[in-house]
Amino acid sequence: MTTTMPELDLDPFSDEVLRDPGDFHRAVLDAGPVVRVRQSEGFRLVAVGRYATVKAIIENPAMFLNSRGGGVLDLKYDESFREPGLLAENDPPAHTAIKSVMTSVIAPRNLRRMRDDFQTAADEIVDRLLDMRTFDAQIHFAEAYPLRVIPDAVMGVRQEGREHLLRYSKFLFESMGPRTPRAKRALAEMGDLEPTISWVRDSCRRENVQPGSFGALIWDAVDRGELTDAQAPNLVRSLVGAGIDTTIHSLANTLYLLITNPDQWALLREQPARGKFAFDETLRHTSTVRQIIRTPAEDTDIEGIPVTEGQKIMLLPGAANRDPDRWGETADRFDITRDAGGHMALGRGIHQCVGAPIARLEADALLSTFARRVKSVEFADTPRPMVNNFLRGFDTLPVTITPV
Amino acid sequence: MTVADTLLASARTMEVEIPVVVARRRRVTADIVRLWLIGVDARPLPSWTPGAHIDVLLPNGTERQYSLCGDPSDEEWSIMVLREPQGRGGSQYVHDAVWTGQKLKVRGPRNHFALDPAPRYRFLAGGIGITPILPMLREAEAAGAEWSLTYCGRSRQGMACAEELTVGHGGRVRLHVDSEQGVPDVAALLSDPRPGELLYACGPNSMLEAIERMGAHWPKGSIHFERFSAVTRDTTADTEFEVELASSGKVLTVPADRSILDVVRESGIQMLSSCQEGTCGTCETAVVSGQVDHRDAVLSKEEQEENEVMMVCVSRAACPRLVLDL
Repeated sequence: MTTTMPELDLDPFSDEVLRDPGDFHRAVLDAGPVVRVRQSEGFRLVAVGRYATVKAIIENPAMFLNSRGGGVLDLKYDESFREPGLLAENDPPAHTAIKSVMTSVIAPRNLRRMRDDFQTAADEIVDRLLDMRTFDAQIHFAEAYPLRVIPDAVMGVRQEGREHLLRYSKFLFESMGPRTPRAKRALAEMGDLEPTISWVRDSCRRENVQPGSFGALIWDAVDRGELTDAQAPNLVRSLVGAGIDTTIHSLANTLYLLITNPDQWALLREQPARGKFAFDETLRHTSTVRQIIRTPAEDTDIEGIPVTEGQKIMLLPGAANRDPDRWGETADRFDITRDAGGHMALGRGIHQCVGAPIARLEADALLSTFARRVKSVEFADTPRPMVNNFLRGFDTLPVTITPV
Repeated sequence: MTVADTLLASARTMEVEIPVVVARRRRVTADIVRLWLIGVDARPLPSWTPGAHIDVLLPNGTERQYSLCGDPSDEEWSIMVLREPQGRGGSQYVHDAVWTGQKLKVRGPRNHFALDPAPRYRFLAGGIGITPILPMLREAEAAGAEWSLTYCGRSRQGMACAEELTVGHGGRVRLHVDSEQGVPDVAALLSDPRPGELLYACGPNSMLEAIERMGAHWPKGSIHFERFSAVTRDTTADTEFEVELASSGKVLTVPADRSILDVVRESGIQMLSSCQEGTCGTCETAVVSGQVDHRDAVLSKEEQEENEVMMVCVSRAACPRLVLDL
């Protein structure tokens, strides 16, 4: 029995959907297990939103490949804007050894060493916020904290030129999506990106990573014969590309949800140790990564609906994480006491986000410290959502806080 | 790759299902068939080392583990399957319903029985236990090591590859046929370990238990086994234990068939977790006291031995009561 694929006249990369994907996600959930969506730039994308379907695809990496590209391009035929990522744009068996190196770098013992520094940094950042009282939380809370801890301890990149970090990830996450008129404009407004790309490339070299950082541990794996000289910079680059914007926007989304759900803010203040749960529930409720891309290795079907080899499939974590079949009647509610375990925001299985433990450590330190020392937090002005092809977050998040 | 990395890598590959096609099938003895597997669309299969096994997911829903018995440099994989009328139906199915051209799903390869470098090896194989040993002989030979094999079986007709082994390797292979020579003298097979010699044994449990009992005079770490019972963790031996929560002193009982994570959550304590199969590290919990039976693929061997943290979704207690930082 074959059934035809339902079609939706919605463009996942239109400004409306990027600003608020809620209606789009609901339409995909209602339409079927896999849905053809409209795409103005000539891509013929299909979307998968239902939790069970997303899970089945993501847990079958032999059929649904990563190596054909994590963006809208099919790397089998299309020249990408950069060398494919060894971790996220790779399949077993090649992926297996790489992932195990990265897992051994981001190991619990290595993270434990960082805990105290992360806490000290959180105290400093919250001190500054309490001095300011009214500030743009996007810059002074969400960006300031990861930028304070990640470039040193994790990436190990040079001090000089760090302003390139945010430019690089903005370029990266915009470029992975289709070149819509909006995306073209956004990239054009960034000006000459060559210096940024060169700075990142140079920062990943052996002589430029700081000793003791995770970047240096990746180079150590070369000395042990587990990686080649050519592979190491690519993996350091993955720390640089994937390890900063994702966390920044997730922190901003968490603060936004705590302000718009005062009962949850009150719960967090009562028990500041719930910071990590607030963060995990935010990832579920407002998933930062808009789509996870997979490509079928051969003609196959998704729950009886045929999909052809090479068809780019957008898995929508934001839809799966609100699927009432998995989360029940309260799927749309932000509830930090919920068991959000099993959400798809960080992927699952062999490609589950290898940096998740770092992000959780950051969020735990910052949010718990913030909740212990801040009595109230409210908007100082209307926040402006970010419009970006791959990530959900804010351009501005003006807030006013009062101390305990 | 360090041991920890190999362990991690193997845990990762566990999750991948690889579609394969049966390229050839040959009856080796009355009760053993040999299958050669290739990747669907001739996609290359992962590399492997002697001692590795794969999970074969059969269309009838059963899942069995088989050692790879071919040559790692071949593009195809090869397994041998003994018909076990008393088994759970996996081997019967292979014999009766898996023919050339059949598509199967496999997972792996994984290796818990890798050949460590050594100047000399003593191989002991019982029955179908010869399968992981075959590629080891080739590797030992290629490495220029001294080696000997004693291959035990109930009858000459039932022993796979017996002929080519004795012909190909001259005096280094000794066949022991129970129907002709009676029960093998395990003590004699284990006599006089030589400097640097490693013993690799695979066969029925009775044989391995005898080796375990009688091999005490071998240096620690020099005897390596593979039991070819299912390698998926046998949870039938799991027992009930207690978990004490350090912050409250509350003591919870974890029944044999439930995880610490579930029991702690049920008591009203919120815990972060994600994969629930010991691969992602989200539920990492600090251990205040007690010995852990680690079953995760996140911590390195050293970290597991440090016993400072555990993954509560899969790991259990190796003592009556664990105290956790909860």
